[in-house]
Amino acid sequence: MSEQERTRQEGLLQDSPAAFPGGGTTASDQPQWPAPAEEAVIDAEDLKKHFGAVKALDGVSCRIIGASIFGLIGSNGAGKSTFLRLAAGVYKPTAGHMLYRGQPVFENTAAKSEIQFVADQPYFHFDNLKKMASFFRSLYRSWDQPLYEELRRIFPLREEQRLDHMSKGMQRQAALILAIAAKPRLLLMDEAFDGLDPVMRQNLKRVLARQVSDSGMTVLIASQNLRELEDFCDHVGLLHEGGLLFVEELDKLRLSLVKAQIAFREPVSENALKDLGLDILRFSARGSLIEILSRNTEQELRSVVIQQNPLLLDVLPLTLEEVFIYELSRKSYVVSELLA
Amino acid sequence: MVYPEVNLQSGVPIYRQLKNAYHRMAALGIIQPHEQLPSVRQLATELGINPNTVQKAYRELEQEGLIYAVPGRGNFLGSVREDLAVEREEILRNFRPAVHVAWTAGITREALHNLLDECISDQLTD
Repeated sequence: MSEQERTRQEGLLQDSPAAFPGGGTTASDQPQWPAPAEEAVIDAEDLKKHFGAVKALDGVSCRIIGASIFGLIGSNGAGKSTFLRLAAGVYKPTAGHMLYRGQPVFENTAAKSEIQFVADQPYFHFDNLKKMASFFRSLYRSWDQPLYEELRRIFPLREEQRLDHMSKGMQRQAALILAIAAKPRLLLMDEAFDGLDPVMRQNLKRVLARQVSDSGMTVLIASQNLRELEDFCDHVGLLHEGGLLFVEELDKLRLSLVKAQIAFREPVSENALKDLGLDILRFSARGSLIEILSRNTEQELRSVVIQQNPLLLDVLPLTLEEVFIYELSRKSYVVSELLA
Repeated sequence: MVYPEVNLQSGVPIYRQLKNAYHRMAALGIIQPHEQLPSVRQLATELGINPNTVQKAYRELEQEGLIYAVPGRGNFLGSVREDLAVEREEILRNFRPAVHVAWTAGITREALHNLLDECISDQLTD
């Protein structure tokens, strides 16, 4: 067994709760919740970023509260990376404000020392992790060496290996190790889970969950893939063509919609169900089997349908993708016409 | 310390799964009255879920009276043995799948009602 494989096993297979969370940070068992007060870590006001004629972001307003995990969803070119770079203080807004804890972040050294940005394609100033770590150590006073050592066990990378010889996934892990060990107050990640295998993904989630609990770190993750974020973020924002279509608490989104398969002995029309109080968004019938999506709680749906003596009533799990499509159709006239 | 299980694929919000799991574990006696629950940090780290999700579940469980918080020490299970409502909820939850199976097999509402009446009568006459 190579050294790498061994550390990999030690890092991953210790599944007892005690083994994992210790680490370099305050390992006290005292509840440390709530973490720092509910201040806005990011406050974007009518934020615009244009590149010539291209309006990458065109009037985005959004507040992200401290110690939260925020997911920014959007397709290619929606403006996610631009938003992250503005939040990281790399870009200057064309108009509007990008505030980090109340201060404009562009070229703000104090603010930027508390922010880490893991780019889609990480760039390293030095050729191996060891050199990068000592560079970070000299750069960030918040650098946590024991945490770095622990992260290297969780994401087993050889310190001396050339970073440009590593796979994309390994480079991503190297960038994550460095960013997390710098103990930022704000961690920005572009497509963070991309290129990580399922075990590494779960490990990353566990590390992030602990850092959010311990230090009140705020996480902003941008992704094209809703499914990657749906079990981890507390709020999600949907970015589309440079505009933020909506920001919502994930649980609220999901609980406000219900999907069900129903069969009645006698045919029941969509309008009949609407008259009974269901706010039906989609209605399709295949023979006697009806599938509906409605803006109701599960209880509301059940109580209405049960009154009609159904032969079958199955409430189906709703993917976040479906939730988003319907939120979109509600907010955006064009999309709703396309779906109709 | 006992950790609840969550299923990330189920589509049921995780905080609800956590709440259900604690209700169930309490009703089944897997956790004992006044036993300490994992801290938000422990549970979030162990399951790889958002600490705010755990906090939300704990807050609602506290409002429901299943658990209580001791400032600076953590969350503890309340005196569930006196809380029959919790157990009843669990019992009724277990009842539902049986109804569902009967229903999908085409057994009518009347037949189910009759069966229920019969069972209860049996209990009363025993």
